[in-house]
Amino acid sequence: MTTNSNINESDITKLANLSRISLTDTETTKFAKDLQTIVGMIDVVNSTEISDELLKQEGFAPTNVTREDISRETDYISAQDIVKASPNHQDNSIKVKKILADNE
Amino acid sequence: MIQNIQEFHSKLIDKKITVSELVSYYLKNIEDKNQNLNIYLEVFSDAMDYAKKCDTELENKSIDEITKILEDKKLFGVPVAIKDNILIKGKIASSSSKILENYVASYDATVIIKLRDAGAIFLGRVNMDEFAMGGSTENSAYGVTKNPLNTEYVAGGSSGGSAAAVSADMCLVALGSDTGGSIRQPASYNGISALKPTYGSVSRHGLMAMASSFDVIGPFSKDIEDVKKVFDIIKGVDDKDSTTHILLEPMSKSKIKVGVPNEFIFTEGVSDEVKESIKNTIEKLTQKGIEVIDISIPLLKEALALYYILVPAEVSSNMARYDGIRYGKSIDTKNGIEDYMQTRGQLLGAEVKRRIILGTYILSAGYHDAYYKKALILREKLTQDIKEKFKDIDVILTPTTPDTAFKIGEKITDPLTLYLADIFTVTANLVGMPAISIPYKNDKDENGTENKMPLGLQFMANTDDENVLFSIAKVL
Repeated sequence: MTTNSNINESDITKLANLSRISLTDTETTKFAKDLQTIVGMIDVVNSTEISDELLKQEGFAPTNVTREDISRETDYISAQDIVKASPNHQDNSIKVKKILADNE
Repeated sequence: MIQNIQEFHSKLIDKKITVSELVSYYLKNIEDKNQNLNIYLEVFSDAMDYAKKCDTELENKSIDEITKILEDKKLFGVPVAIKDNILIKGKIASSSSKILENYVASYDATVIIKLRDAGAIFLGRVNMDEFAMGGSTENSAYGVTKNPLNTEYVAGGSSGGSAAAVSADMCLVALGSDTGGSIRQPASYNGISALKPTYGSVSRHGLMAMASSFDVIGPFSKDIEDVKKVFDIIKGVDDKDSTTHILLEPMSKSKIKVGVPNEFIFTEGVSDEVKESIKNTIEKLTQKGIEVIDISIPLLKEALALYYILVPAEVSSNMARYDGIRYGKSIDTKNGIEDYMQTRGQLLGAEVKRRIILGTYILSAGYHDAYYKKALILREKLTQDIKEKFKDIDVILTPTTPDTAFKIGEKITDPLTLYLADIFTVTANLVGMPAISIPYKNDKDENGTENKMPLGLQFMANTDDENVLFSIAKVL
């Protein structure tokens, strides 16, 4: 298995921050090592040649499945039940923290 | 006790058993063995009430009337175990994660509604790898599920609880989900049968999403007939899942032709025992007059890499919803952003965090084109290459896994060695085609003194051609 990627601990810290995950130092060290070997495994794709012809073929561009933008009545789920499933709620609303300080 | 649904229903007609008796039998087994095996996370207290209701429905009915009821409700009184990532309204669904420890489902998954309408009884929710990421249930926040056949070994995963519940006689059938082998691999490790249906043939509404273009729900049983019965109930278009499709008409084939990608199987990293199982199966099929040919699909070698690019990318997006605001548990800190960081950092397990971070890496600028975009194109190429093969053959035979179940703790420290166990199963998810795992019966070892762990054979078929899989399973 090749390990030609050089993901280091500061990369992991940055990625974890983007992913909104706090990591301990031990986790950061472990994940840097793990990702190096995993990226080494998936790297085969990076070096695979893809012909221009292939790209022009039908089916190689993803398609979206859409429906008419009309509201639908549902009886199987209530807004109340969904709000109730949140850890912090009041009346019929999900409660979140202030995102701006008073003096901003 | 009861081997399959048909036997159960015949005995109901003959009044040799009641639904309550069968449910009690499983509940007793759970009571006796679950503490050690750790299969059920919760046994539903209302299961017995449903069983009694079923019995009342059959009370004072004639044989003809009972037969009619059982024809209308194909799963009448059938006790089912449900993987912990499938929602049942009013019940906890935790996906074996701490972050959803107290999450109560707000609605029923479509498959749950369909099973209930068919008369099934939900016995409880069973263990899995956290958010279905893993192949051993060692990533469950609630402890590993032990293999009922030998408790030193893993039951497989991610649907390890579902497979073990069937093999330990703690339910008649079970539901699991499969993103890259999570149904077939545990079935193989437990010596039972299971189906990963065609992508989009079963609604994912109410299944917690792991990788949305890969996930599918499927059934487990000791009997392939039951797997078919449950699949027939849960399949079909659902307006709550836009990726479901109208199923193609099943083709009836007078002769099945099998393709075997020998160059992919007879290679390093596949155990001798597994190679032997394929050789013997080819021999057995040939003896029964079935044509078996060697096929070559060069891209199969890249399937695992494609899988571990595309799936973490989808995982990192899908897991964004577990933010401590919408569901389950939350860690309270000084501000909102720190709430996210701590909630996800403390309440998600190592493998889930690893895959989110890997997916974030793959989707980041600079790497997106090199990995993600390229993998999408190669996924399509692989699909077309396999479709092309299915013009000539009906099923592709491979082992389900490169080896039998491994020991608990043996692989958990090195994620890559665990990923390699998915080598034969990921392809079916990449190309959206159906695949079954059935137990390999080695005739030569029948009076064997050795207590060997079971092996599975995998058959994959073209889109919506589940029927040919059931046919080939019956041949063996």
